Amino acid sequence: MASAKSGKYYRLDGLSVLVADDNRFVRTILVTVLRGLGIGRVLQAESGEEATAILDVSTQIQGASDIDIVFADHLMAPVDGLELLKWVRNHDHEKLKFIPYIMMSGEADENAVRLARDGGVTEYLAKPMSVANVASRLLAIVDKPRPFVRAPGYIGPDRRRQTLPYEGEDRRVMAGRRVTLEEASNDDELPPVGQAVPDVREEAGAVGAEDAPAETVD
Amino acid sequence: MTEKPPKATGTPTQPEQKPGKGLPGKGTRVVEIIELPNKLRAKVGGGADGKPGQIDPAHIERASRHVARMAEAHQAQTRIDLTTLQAAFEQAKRDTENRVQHLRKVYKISDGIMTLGRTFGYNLLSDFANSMNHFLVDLENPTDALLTVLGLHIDAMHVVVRDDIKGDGGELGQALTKSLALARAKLIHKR
Repeated sequence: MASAKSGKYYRLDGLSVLVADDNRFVRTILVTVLRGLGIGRVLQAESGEEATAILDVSTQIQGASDIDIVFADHLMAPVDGLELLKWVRNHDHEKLKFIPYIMMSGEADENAVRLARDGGVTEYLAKPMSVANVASRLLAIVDKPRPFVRAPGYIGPDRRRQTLPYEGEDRRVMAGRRVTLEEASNDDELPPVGQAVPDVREEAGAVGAEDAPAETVD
Repeated sequence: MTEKPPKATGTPTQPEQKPGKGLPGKGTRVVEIIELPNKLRAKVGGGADGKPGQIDPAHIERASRHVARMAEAHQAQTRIDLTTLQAAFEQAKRDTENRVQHLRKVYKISDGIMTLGRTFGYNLLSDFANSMNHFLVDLENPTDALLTVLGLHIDAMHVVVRDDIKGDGGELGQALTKSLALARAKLIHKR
């Protein structure tokens, strides 16, 4: 992967973003930031339910401009950001199922971070909000997309963000883009946030598997 | 447990199913890796070299300028939020039966204050709200001692707003930060 920046400035005016937050003032500031950064179209939802309605409509109207990215607050009621995320990831329409989803939350709720990760969040926007952290999340989505993983109990971007050496036996069987974990535990839990999931060496041509081998999952 | 093969829709790169070797059996889990075309990068004009691009600094500057224009609105909104938060907190003290419900409201409002405090230079406002929120995430047993600590944080937020304290708040800010940290430590010790 290239590490140096190309120096090219992205044109964001072709992007369409949905902001879902039930705090009107916070929503207004985020919309201001996004428009200032040059995002062409910013839609607003004042609740999780309204967000589902807008997203649903976007899949039904032919020729309608796609929504490219969702920013959603975690602390919404009655449909919170996590429920909205699950709704998106389990949607029948692929345009929605794979949509980049940015969850906004304070670091106080560590459980929310873990649940968002395991719910298939693409990026996490840690509050307090700033122009810099909004811009950095947008760049991460554009420049560092991760393959999607569909596993028992999970659909979303590959939760591993780094590749670490692993000395154990590789129990994975790679077949095309399917990875079979033999004698794997039924326990789908990943280590806590901040603790890296050990990686295994991959066969040539294979892409990263989402789960760790059985020894590390058990 | 195994997965059904995905529907062939043609949009993302779908996994190939190869019979024989690697066919899932009992005690196996199948994980599908779905490589999606990076449409967003193409949409924003990303180069074919694959190198990460940037957001025009002029646009970042513009966004910061537009946000700065809302500073007065932020001050007004924070005052309203603090008043509403204070009212919810007072209700939590009085209405013991529905204390959790009132404190959830306190948490929600405090989360909003925390989100934007630092955005407008009120770092202490964000810090105090954030520290308070740690005690509001899990509300299984909100004790009187907890309410005392919450009250101290709310008082400190009122001081920040009343005296328009920006940044780290100098000596007063440090004194407030220290005393709140002490109060939190005492509460944690009691637990």
